[in-house]
Amino acid sequence: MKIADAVKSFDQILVVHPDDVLSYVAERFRVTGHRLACVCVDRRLVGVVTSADLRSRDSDAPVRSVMTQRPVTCSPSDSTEYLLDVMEQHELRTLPVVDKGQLIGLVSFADVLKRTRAQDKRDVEFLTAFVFGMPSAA
Amino acid sequence: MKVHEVAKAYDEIVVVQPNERIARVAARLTMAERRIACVCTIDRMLLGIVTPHDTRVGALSGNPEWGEWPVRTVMTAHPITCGLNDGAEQVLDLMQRHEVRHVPIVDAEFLLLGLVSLTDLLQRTRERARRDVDFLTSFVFG
Repeated sequence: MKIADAVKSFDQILVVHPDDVLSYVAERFRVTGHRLACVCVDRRLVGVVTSADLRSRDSDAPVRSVMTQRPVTCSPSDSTEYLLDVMEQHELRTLPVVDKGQLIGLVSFADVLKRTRAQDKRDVEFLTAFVFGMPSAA
Repeated sequence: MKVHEVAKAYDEIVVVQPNERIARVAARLTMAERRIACVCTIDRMLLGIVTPHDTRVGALSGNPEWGEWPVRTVMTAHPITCGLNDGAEQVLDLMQRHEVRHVPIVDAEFLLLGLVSLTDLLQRTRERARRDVDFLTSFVFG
């Protein structure tokens, strides 16, 4: 299963510019409830910043001074199994999804796991319904 | 399927004491099969968990002595836990809801019994699903 249908799209995520000051980003985190923002120039991803990155920092500093540059990313054609491996290897809960150099959204660990489990159950439920006319109890 | 069928037992996982040095814990985790350490008192009571990411937090502080800090200063206290007889789907729900990959298994006194990991749970549930599909397919097609 590909992750394209699990992606939170560009307009559902928090995107900031590398020159935005940290006080502005902190306010955006507070208002939106997000804990991670993608740092973009136009739609090109240049970094990510989390609410933890802002702690004890000068509120007038630009976000480029604290962001993680060259973050781990994935592609919409990657499989859910691959993403779970990458997230485990890098201890990440959220990955930016980039297609042809442009940020298209974010994918979360919870959404990837949900789809992986659904995929595992789907065939069994389909066949069970086919044979017995009811969904699997498992 | 119950958690104990796929869990790693206490003696198969990395268990450290709260005053153990971060550098030593980090070194042990690089060689561990599951890259997580359970922080316990000497009588096995679970206090927290530590991942390689947690051990690197000290390095980011700029303090050259960070490797000497006790691991309790960077551990995640009060982690999500489960019981030995909890169902696999129940623990997968926990992992999904709290976005965690490893869940320590404790008894009623919060004594550590083992650890269950997402990789092991998914592998086992997938094997079971495959068996069910094979059985149902043979039922349909003979």
